[in-house]
Amino acid sequence: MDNPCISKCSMAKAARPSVVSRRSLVKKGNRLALLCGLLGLAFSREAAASQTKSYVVSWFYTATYSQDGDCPDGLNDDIETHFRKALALLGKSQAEIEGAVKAIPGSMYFMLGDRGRIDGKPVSPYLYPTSVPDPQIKTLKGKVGYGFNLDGKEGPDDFVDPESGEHGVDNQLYRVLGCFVPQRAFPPDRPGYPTAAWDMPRDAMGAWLIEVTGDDLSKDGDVTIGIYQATAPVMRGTDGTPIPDMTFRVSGDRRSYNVVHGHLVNGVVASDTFTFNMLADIFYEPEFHLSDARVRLTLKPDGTARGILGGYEDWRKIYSSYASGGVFNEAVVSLDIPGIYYALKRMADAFPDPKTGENTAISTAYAIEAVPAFIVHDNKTAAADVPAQDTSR
Amino acid sequence: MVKKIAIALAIALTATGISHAATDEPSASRMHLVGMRRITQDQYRQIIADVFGRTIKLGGRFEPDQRDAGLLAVGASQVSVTASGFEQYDDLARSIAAQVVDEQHRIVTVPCKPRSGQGADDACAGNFLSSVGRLLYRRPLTQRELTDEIKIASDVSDRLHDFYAGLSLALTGMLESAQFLFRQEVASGDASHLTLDPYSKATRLSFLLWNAGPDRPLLDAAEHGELDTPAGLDRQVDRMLASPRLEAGVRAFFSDMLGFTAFEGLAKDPVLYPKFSARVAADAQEQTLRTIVELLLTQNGDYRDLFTTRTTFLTPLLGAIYKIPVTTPDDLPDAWVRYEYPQDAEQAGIVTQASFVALHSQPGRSSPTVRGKALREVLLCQKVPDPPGNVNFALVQDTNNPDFKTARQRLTAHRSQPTCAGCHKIMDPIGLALENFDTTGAFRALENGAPIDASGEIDGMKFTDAQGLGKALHDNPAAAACIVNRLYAYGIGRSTTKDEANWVHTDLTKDFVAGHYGIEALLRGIATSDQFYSATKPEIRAGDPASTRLASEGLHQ
Repeated sequence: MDNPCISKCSMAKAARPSVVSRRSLVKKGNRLALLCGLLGLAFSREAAASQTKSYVVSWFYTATYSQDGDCPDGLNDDIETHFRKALALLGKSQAEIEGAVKAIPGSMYFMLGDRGRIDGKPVSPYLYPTSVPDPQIKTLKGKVGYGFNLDGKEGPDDFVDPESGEHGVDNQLYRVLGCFVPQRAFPPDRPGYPTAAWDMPRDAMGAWLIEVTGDDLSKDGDVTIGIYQATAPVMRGTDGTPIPDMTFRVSGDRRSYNVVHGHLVNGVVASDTFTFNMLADIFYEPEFHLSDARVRLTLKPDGTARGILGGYEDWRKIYSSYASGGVFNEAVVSLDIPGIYYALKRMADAFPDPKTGENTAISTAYAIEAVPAFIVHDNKTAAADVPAQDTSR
Repeated sequence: MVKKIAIALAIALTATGISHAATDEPSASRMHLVGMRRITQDQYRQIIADVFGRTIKLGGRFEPDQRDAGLLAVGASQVSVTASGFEQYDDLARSIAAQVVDEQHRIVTVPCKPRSGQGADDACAGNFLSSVGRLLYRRPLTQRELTDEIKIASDVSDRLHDFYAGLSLALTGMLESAQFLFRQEVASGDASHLTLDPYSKATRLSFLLWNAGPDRPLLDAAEHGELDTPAGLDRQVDRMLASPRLEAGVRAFFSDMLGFTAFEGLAKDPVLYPKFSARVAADAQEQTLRTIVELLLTQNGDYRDLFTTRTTFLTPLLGAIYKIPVTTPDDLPDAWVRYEYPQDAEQAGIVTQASFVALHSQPGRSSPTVRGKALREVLLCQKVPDPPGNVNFALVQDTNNPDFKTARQRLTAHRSQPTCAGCHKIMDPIGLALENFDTTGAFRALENGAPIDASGEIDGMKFTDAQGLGKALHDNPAAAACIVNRLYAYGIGRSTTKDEANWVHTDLTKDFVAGHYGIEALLRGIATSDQFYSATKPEIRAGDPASTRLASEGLHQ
């Protein structure tokens, strides 16, 4: 019986990296030999000819670069103001509003959660966001933001990336969300809500893995970037963050298997354009699918990596991830869910529907933080299973 | 003083057990109580599992054990049961007894059926109590003991109209008695040559080899006098050494010798070392025990190779500490994986494992001094004096001092204080050899950006790194002598007397060397020796209330 791991050991210079990889290049040949020996596998010299740094994603969240003045119309309403406005829209008297506000938080859960109206009947504004009027949430007007120039053009809504300096950066999702307080942060701080949204499900979802393979990662040159999902979730250390240097096995699910060519320049890896697909968590965002995606990672000397993943994403999926939080996301997180719906729809900037002409996708950028890990490929991820990497939608 | 009070308290707890043994039986007038050792938590659990099965759940807390002469096994001879501790034992006993007689278990645990469940049945109660009592007390119950227990069961059964309630209460009493909680060693002979009685021999043998009470075959052998003959003793030793239960005994000894109970209070700074958790601490102990079992039992290897072996076992969590890939089946994420370090690996031998370097470190930094002290005391049985009370540790603890980036530099400066130099000379040169391992056991080449110099010297043998230290320990005769001494002391529950020490250091150690440093051969040598079953009368000091109490119990003739 063929041992698939043998071929993977010898495939190190092909699209797929070696059977196991890790960030440290010290004695890499020995370590690879060891693991192959551990698994009863042969070890190819070719494997040692390339170098791989591998990581497990510790944080993944909407990239923010919040600065004073980037919301000239002010920030979006706090929860009490939002609640008062919602009640006023429902025709409540001032006395009724004051009574409801006094009963916060309990009153919010049922008064916000069924404030939608269809034919005069109450409905969920999360399932039926157009059942409430567009509140015209305040959106971000700043000029600096993370991401990539996805359409190759420079327009008035585009950003300049603060790290890469790239102009024409498309990241309309940041404009939609950037004036909500829980979405605001200046690096290295992380925005509260997206961070929590990632933190909660990651104990249950397969960890996200990243491999960067090249001939010599100490020098500029071509690289192969792999982004996969593991069969197991991350494990947390005593500080609550994922433990570095754990070993992960790559899942065999082709929906979570991305391999793309890239370049390493001055310690920063930048990919070509690819289609990113990754399973996440049913309570978070079940599946990420980014078209015309690009990824940029800074491989830091301490073994960690930090970067940006950008691309176009179906705005309705993004809305769903916010709406699935329901009234909690309004009453606790202070978001305006129907407002986000209207803004996403209004500010979507790609892939127009052939019939309606309305854009179906919105440009996005997500921050990635990763810690070193060992990654094992086994026979579940045969090369033939890798989906073709389309670059167009 | 503590020791004597402990014995007195233990005796006061029961005031019957040994007295029965000493007065009911024909040879009672020549019997001497020569030792009482409180059973450890692990031993308690094992005995309950052996007697009643593993489905009996044990909750609650146990009295803390005490370490003396490097061993809890020795400390066990010097501890008593405090008032609060007795409450805990009482809770445990009630819980166990209730489970043993409940409807789920009684069909297995109580072999006889009472005539009626609504009242006493002395025959059935006696059958049960004498059977389990023999295993719990590690000897047959005396007639008086059995009569008393049956009467308790009978009275309660009749009063509560519940046979099993009576049985449960009688069993509770046995489980919280000193006869069960303490290994009571009884010897006969004149003061110059005391020999353990057969049941005490069986108990000593069983706890040495299995860390458990004697099983029925061993008690039978004791009852029939087989342990008093070389051939009979050999048969039992052979049987027990061949048993899979030997592993539990070996594990218990090394857990004790290596001081693993200290892991219960071990913590690392979660900000600096978030990888290190209680699970890692548990895995670290298990890694070393698996390494030991593999080398000493599975491979029947040379004890000294524990300091150089490249074979070990890892979990994914330990892999993260050591930065080694550890792959386990998806459905067994915590499985253990056998691992061979390469020849040029930084780690080799148990002293480079987290169970040693993490245990003997500070929460936020390594400690060459603590490690050096542990190497001397734990592995070489050499006593290192405690530091004087007025030592200024500020320089050693200042790991951010730009002038002293490495522990070696800080300790060199610290040793310039004359009061410190003497002791540090015997600890630091060997402890510094492990400086490539941080306080969690992770390898590091640098400290504060400065390269770590792990060279050193021990008893004239120089080395350049931890591997070299392992080889030096391997070749150091003190290491082999230490394990022999420790194992013997572990078995007898006290430090050796002068005569015993001579025998241990000459004959027993010589046999250990001749047996290629094998642990089984060493255990056999101890278990079949006359010395192992000899006893000394406890010292009676004038004015010592405990000794007076012992004397008043008529236990010293």
